Amino acid sequence: MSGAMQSKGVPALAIEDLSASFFTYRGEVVALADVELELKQGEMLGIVGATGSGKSVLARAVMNQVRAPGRITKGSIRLQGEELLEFSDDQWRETRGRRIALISSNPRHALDPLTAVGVQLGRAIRAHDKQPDPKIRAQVIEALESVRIPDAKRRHDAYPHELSVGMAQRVLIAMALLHEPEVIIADEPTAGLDVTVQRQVLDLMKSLLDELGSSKMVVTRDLGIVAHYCDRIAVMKDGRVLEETDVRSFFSGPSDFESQHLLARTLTSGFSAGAGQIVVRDPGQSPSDTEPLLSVRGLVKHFPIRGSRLTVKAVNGVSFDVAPGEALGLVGESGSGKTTVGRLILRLIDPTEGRISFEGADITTASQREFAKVRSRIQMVFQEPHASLNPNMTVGRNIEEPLRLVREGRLSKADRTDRVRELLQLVQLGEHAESFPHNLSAGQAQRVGVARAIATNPRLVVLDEPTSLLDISVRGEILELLNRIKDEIGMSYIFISHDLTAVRSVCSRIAVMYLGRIIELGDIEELFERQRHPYSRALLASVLYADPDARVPDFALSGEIPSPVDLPSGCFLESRCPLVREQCTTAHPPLEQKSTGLEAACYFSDELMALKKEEPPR
Amino acid sequence: MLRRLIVKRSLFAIVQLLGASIIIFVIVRLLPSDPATAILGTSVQEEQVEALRERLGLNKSIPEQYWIWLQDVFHGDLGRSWFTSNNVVDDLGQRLPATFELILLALFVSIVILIPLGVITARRSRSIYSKVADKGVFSYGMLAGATPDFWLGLVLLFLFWVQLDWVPAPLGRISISITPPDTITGFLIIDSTIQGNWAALKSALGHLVLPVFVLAFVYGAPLLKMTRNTVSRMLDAEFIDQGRAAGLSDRMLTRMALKNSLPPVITLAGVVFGFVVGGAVLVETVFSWGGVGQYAVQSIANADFNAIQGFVLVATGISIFIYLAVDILHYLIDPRVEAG
Repeated sequence: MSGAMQSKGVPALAIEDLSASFFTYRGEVVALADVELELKQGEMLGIVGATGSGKSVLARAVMNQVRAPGRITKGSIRLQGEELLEFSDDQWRETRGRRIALISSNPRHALDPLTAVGVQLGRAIRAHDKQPDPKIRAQVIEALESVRIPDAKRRHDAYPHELSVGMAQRVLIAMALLHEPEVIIADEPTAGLDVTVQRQVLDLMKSLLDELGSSKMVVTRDLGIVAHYCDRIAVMKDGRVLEETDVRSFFSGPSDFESQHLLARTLTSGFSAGAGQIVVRDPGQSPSDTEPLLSVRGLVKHFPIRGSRLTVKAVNGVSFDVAPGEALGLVGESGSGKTTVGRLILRLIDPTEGRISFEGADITTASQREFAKVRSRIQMVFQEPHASLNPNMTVGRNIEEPLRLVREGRLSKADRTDRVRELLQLVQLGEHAESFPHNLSAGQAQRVGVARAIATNPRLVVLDEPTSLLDISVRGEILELLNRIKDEIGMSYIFISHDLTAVRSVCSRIAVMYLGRIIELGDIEELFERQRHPYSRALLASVLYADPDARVPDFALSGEIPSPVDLPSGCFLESRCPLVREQCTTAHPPLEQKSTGLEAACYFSDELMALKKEEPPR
Repeated sequence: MLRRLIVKRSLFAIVQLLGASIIIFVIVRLLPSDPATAILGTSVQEEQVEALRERLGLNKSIPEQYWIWLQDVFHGDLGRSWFTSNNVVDDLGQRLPATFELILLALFVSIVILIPLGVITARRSRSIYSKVADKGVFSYGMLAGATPDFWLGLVLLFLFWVQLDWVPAPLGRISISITPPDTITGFLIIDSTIQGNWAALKSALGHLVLPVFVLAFVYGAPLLKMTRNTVSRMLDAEFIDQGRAAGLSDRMLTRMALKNSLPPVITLAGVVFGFVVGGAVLVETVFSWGGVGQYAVQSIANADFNAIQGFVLVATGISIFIYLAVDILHYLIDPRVEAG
């Protein structure tokens, strides 16, 4: 209760006039410019902003850990009224971890890979509190238990690589809480976590910190986290704080133009759009009696593990159709096999079992030569915008490349140039034909990726997480572009993403994947309203809407995704599902029609529906 | 698990040795020199040369010769050196400790001096001292990379022996006027210490100081640079930042960075060590050290097949052993390394 004991008037952390710069060979680059910020006692303050807005530098500056060649140039940071920037190195060492603690993103990298996690926690205890070894061990185990790490005694001796990312993140939280700090800085605390785990971790973090009475500063790009967990919000851009206000008034209408822009972008793009703020979207052609463009049946892909007889069972029997002009969303967390399915369809890897037919022809066993004829009609947009463009070619040349590779009916040089110009206009990059990819922003580069994918007028485009590495405001642009292309040109999409709301803004049908199986398939609106599978329910419940009043269904799965090497014998969700019965442990339920437009693989989907009615509004 | 690693790798080592023995046996026989002529000289009659060839088994087919040799090797017999007329096993047994004493000491000196130096210079700061250390390490790396070891040995001898007379004459491992200690380990400094033969210890150390310095100076440079670069990269790692944020001391953070830097440093130390076993020959020659490097060169010059084969086999064995040791150390340091 350290925070609560402080006098009411003084803020836990008061930042005034804080500036920091990076001194590079090219001169000074200002990262923070006269930042004014207050963290009140016990509150949770969300710092949001795009990449490069200075929010992470701010988090580091508060710890006096701005990385070289950066440093704080002026200003003041007061912790409970005490000026930190006048501290000596020794005073800083005593303060860090004891009075201010950090929870960093990327938990795997934030732990020493060669040291057992218990030993690392022990070191963090000993840094401020010298005690005999057995006592420290007991404290460490207690700390691991407090962040609900199961089997804490055994985990004490586990190395970071033996923990899942979610567990590693809990270890970091435990480390930050060891000395009950007055202030906690969390830098993108859930950036690397899957959505169903993100909720668990954030809930845990918030409840533990509230118990301690610590004041919390959370740096994030996700307005959903802010809306759901924070009391106040500060919006940053170009190293400045544009607006500092309470969450409710921010979401009801921010006063600052940039903030409005940020929020508007978030909402209109359908990203983290709150219930009732659904983007109007073209439902697309109905997939009724037209012959499917793509048909996948019983697809299986197992990857052998080198030097062992085990295999990673990435895809375990997936079947679906995509009609001409239809957009199908393939949704799931990491390890669900969605990306592998995309790569199988593009024949980048060969399936272990199953059949893929495109335009009625079986392409499963087509040789690379044969498939080359089809390839201009199936294209892909990749996750990493810059990495997927050839850095040695101009933007125009990058887009032209697939046109040059067409086998039949290749365009003349002049026609290709015209086509490239037309495509650049379509993605609104008309003036960039002669630029090189490194001169483009991530959003622009991704638009080039889209232009390249549609250059040959393909009938199907596989989009593999096309927006997951982009800033919120840029994501919207890409989604709008994809929608426009679909409507104007009428091609089919398979949109692979872990982000339900992004998929919803583009697709009319959805397939939810879990451990290499489709567990629910059908109309996307129906799924959002009346999902028939507990996993879909949990996935939807874990979406944090950028609306503090959004009703969040309280339906959580326990634990984490089992290993795809050693799959459960029954339903794959059996170990995590709150509805589990004996029947679930015997065999995986088949995908069955549950309502008009929805198929689900669950024995007890009726119970799930019944559960929904009893659920108390939040 | 460690036992599994050792057993598995040892079995593999036998295969490697067999493979290496075939290659070396065949290559030696492809040399354009004739041992019989080399032994007898050119002024003898053709019949005598032919008789010697027959006696040495050189007229048999190469697979047949190899099989006979291999059987002998399994009996611990590497054949007789035609040049020294001793058994190669005895020749090597006499010379290996000399080489080992030299290079192990050189390795020890580089590890004890250069790795801490690498760690200290890796801790960057804006101070003048740090900049000087930076330039110093860089210059040393360039200098050591460009300096031939024998040349450095000669220059130092000129300075410290000819001009200053601080070190004894470069004639072997110990002065002839001193009674050497009885052979126990073959390492003079250890044997003389055990027996309390202080005069011998002093003389041995005097003889060691320059060649050890030369080897450590020239071959330690990559170790210093590798340590410095890896530690400095590790000090930028996220887990160091996280540790600092938890209030860990600089000392602890440096320790963590060093531990994480050890795998590549150990690998490099192993490579350098394996290289120097044969590569120290020029330094051995300059100081008339009488080690295996000199022996190997001598046997090549004399087309002394058994000696060449014996040396290469032993050198291969040493390399394999070093790599096994490197792997075991990796395994002990890094929990992510699998024993299989």
